Amino acid sequence: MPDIRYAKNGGTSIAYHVVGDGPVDLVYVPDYVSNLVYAWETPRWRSFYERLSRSFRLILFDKRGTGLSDSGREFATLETRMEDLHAVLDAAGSERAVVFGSHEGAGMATLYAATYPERTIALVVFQPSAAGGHYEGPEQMEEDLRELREQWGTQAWCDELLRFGAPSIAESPEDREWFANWLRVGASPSVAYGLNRAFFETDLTDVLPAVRVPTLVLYRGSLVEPEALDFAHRVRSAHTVRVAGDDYFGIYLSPEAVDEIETFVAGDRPPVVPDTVLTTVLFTDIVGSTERARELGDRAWRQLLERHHAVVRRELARFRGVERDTAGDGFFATFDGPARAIRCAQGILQSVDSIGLELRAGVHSGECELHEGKVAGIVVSAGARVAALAQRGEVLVSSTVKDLVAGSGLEFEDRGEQELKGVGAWRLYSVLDA
Amino acid sequence: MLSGERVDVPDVRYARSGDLSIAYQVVGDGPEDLVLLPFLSNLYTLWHAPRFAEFGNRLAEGRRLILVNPRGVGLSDRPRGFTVESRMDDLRAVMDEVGSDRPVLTGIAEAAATCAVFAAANPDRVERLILYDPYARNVRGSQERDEALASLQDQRERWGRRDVLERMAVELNPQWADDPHYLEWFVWHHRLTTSPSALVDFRRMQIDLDITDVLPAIRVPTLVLSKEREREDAEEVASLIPAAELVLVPGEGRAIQENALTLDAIETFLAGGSARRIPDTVLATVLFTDLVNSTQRAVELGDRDWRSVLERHNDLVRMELARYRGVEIDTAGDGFFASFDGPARAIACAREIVERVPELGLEVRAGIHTGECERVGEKLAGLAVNVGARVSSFATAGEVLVSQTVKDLVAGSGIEFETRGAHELKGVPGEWRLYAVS
Repeated sequence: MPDIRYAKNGGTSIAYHVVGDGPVDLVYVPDYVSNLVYAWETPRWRSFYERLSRSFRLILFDKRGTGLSDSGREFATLETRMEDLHAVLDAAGSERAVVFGSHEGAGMATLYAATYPERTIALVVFQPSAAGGHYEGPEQMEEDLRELREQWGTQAWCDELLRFGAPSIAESPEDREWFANWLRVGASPSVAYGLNRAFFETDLTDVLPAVRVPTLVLYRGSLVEPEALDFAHRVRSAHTVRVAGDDYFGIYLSPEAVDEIETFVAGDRPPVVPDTVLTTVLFTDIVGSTERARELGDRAWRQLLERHHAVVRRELARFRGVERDTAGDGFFATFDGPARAIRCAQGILQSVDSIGLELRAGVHSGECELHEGKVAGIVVSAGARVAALAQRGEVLVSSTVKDLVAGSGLEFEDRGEQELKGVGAWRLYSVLDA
Repeated sequence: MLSGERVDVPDVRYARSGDLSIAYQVVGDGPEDLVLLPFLSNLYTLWHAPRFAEFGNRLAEGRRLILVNPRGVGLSDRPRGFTVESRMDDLRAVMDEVGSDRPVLTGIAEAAATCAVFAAANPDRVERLILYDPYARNVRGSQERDEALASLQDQRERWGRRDVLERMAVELNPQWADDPHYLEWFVWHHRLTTSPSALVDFRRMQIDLDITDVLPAIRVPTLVLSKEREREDAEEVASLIPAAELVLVPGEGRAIQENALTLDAIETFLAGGSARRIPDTVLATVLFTDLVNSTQRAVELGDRDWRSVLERHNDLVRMELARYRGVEIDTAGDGFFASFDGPARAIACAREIVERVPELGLEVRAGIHTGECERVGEKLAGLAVNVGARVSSFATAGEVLVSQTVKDLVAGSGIEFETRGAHELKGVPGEWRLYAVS
């Protein structure tokens, strides 16, 4: 087995290793839980990885909280886990890679590919779903999550999950034992619960059209077919392949998937130079600025405005926002993750309070065009419209944003569907104070 | 899944300790119970260690063997940070879950410290105590401590590497240095037990933990086991626990299952002796709070207003006590005397109280000590109670002052202290080193 190494994202160590030395890098994003060491000891996983490593320089890692990696201080959003992937690829010296995500991991892979197209050769997903898996309503979901929290890791529950997810191997006692241990060493109950809850609550529907890298959608069985086809349909240029078999879980049960990936990546397509990326935009605006300016007089107003700019820029720096424009008394900034944009907006609103100003803020995520450092596109106009609808002291976000920050602990209040001038109707949400 | 013989790993279950899930296993069936806390471990990989399955299954003959994986490592939930107190909570949660009222409690190395403190604090929940490879403290002196702390970053960077882990394996169990199965297992086991930052958190607790003052309070029949190489530490621990039995087991390595002699010593210890009386002394943490300048305030306010302020103060203190599982023992005039089952909780409670009382225009000082107390009905008595009261009298307004024992037990909690020097406490022999909570 290749030696284990750790990449660092902030104070959190992410375990990874690199197998093989093919000319093209491929990083595998596991579904739910994983454990580098245990997988490597498992004939099923090992032969699958070895097959992949014959064609690619294969990069494997355990998501934070799972396997050999650190837990981090709190449950991680999809966004933080995506940064972990970024850190792993940096540590592995990988500039561009095929990003391959399986089932729950497909979400993280997709978000990465949409956010960092310049670092993604191609996106490959197995058993993907745009929105949280097929579930029979929120009540059933809560019931299943509760059961998972109580029974995760016990043999009987693991057996039942295997009978549902991979019936073709569920009758073998060795496989049942193997699977239970795979879950146990993959994650503890609370991490497993957090991952599953975030998966159910995440909705990537709006992100999919922003994927501009070549995409291969693999699926297996009739259960996921509608979801996989829907996913493929929403990505503009996805190639879809159904692999043999019926099991819902376990990419390792389809070794031929590797051939599909290899053919797809080697395919004779013109190199894509994407000029669009998935970005989160933040607009802030001072409420009642004309009146305040008149009250204060030019000079005092200018001074106040300078302090306002300093506060906003400090918060932008803190949350890795990039200032794009300052129009009068408002800011336009972009972020590579929506949770950070919301936290930044909250920080700004709180800080300007102390200098006697009131702001409104709007956050939206979507596909932006990049031209010489400038950002353009419908998403920018939509973001500005969202901000315009916010009330004083409010951070208003679009449904796309809300769907991407599951697990962040952020809470929202529904503000209903609103017509945004020129950009259509969007469901908006107000961020509740922590 | 490791190469070599197939091992039957007992089914894993999880008990709830607060919000966390704590992994445990139960092997065998009654009549008596033996709870085993391994060192930094993973209950799944542990069973694949050389000779461990044989050891575990033999230990489970004629009894229920209950293995516990306290939080932070292995299969249990892994929040950041370690304290003896939280590990004791996890142990109690598993005992409650499996309905084990008074098991034999066995701990290995650092886990021996958790078991020792648990036995001192809960003599009614521990039939007998077995400490394998225990130590009262992991580092001696401030220079050794500084060096240990300085090496943590390096340990973090190197954690998980095969060469590093293999060197550790050889150092710990030289008798198996040429056994490739052992080396392979050791690397595997440790990678699956902890991640780099959890290791550093764990080491931090280990470096600062000191149970020297707690050991004399153990009133449970105790067996101390060790190999020759760890003799000094084991002898110190055995000499501090009243009537503890010390057995030095032949062998070169630290593994408890190295040979059958450890098992023989355990069986001999458990077979001997008669049913024991539950002692009426326990290790407890006592908290004293006291209003500062209360006479002056009472005069200023007049009787009626003073009584109403005092009532609000009492309500506030009782609310915080309830929050941190403190038990009110006495209210003497305008002060409180309460006991806790863990010193970190007592500190957190005291901090809340001294921070919130000023809302009422009052100021409070607090003192905390952990020591052996006599149980008299619902009350506590004994020297430790006097010490606690004296400690609080040294505190200034708004200050939480603690004894050295308290500081030594909350290692890993992140609580910081400023030294307040050594003092004589009226009516209590010896010199006492006191610390203010920062």
